[in-house]
Amino acid sequence: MDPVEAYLDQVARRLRGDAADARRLLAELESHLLDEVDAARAEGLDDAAARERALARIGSVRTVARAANGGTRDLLAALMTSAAGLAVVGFAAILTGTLVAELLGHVFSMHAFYGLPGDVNPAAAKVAGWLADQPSATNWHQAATLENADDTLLLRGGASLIGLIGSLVAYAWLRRRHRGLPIAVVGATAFGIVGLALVFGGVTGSYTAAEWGTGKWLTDGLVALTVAMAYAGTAARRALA
Amino acid sequence: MLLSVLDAGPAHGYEVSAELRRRSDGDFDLPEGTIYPALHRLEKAGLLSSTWDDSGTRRRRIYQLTAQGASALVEEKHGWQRFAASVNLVLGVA
Repeated sequence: MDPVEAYLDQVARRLRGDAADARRLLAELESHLLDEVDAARAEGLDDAAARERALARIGSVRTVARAANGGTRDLLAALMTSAAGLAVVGFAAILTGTLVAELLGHVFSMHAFYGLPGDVNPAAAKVAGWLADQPSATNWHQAATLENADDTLLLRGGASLIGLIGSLVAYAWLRRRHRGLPIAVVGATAFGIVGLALVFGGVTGSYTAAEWGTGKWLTDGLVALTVAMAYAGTAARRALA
Repeated sequence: MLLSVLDAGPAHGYEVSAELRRRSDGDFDLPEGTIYPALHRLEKAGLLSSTWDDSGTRRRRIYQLTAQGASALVEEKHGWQRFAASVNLVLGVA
């Protein structure tokens, strides 16, 4: 393989950040190397020696890639930008799951979305609390369902809305200074695992002190899997580009 | 230094690196590939602008100083003159 092309391939593999910036750098490096080879040939060097001198002058793959990627501080800033971007998507997914479950629960069955699994026997004090908070409920099962629906919408929905606004502000601020890293594979993996876990929770009727409700688990799981598929699509497009 | 080279007129990266080597009489023998990330950063900071030139045998990115870059160059030159004068005074070589 042509040593100039091999060099450019190695630089390409080490570059982080925006694909357009990487393409531009590689085009400039290639043009530079070919100019350098032409100049060396004009001085009387043979082709192999001309290419060798051009590659020696342009700098090692590591040196050029490090200059392009920036130092540790740039890497940390890029990681923070990417983390803020993931947080935006995460909070938006939680809020979406909360609102969709609320809507579907009202349309189809609140019990299917927020009801306690049949084999759960909560403590008497907890049951008393639900009945006190939900005076319109005709029995404790209905009180548990309504309490779960209210808490999900107000507490989880409210917290995710605050988180979404906060992470959006942080992301906008960081993005103006640093580009994030390409993290589509990370997003697809993280949301995929969480989505599968949530769907498993829905299918098995899982119960924790803070989260229960088959429909709610499944809605959250499907939202997370949709986000994972969107990230996977982005990763595939980048890989094929 | 990159701004100073481009103060003479628009140029592509290869010309910039060759001019740096020529002006420094070969002393600034930097890895030439590192010039491009530096040019990109200066452009993002608004000190340079650039466009592709497809008129020659190969495609090149041509860089030129912006008004902001010209002002920054004047500032940098003054700053360097002050610094060099101070060091010369300390060393007693002025």
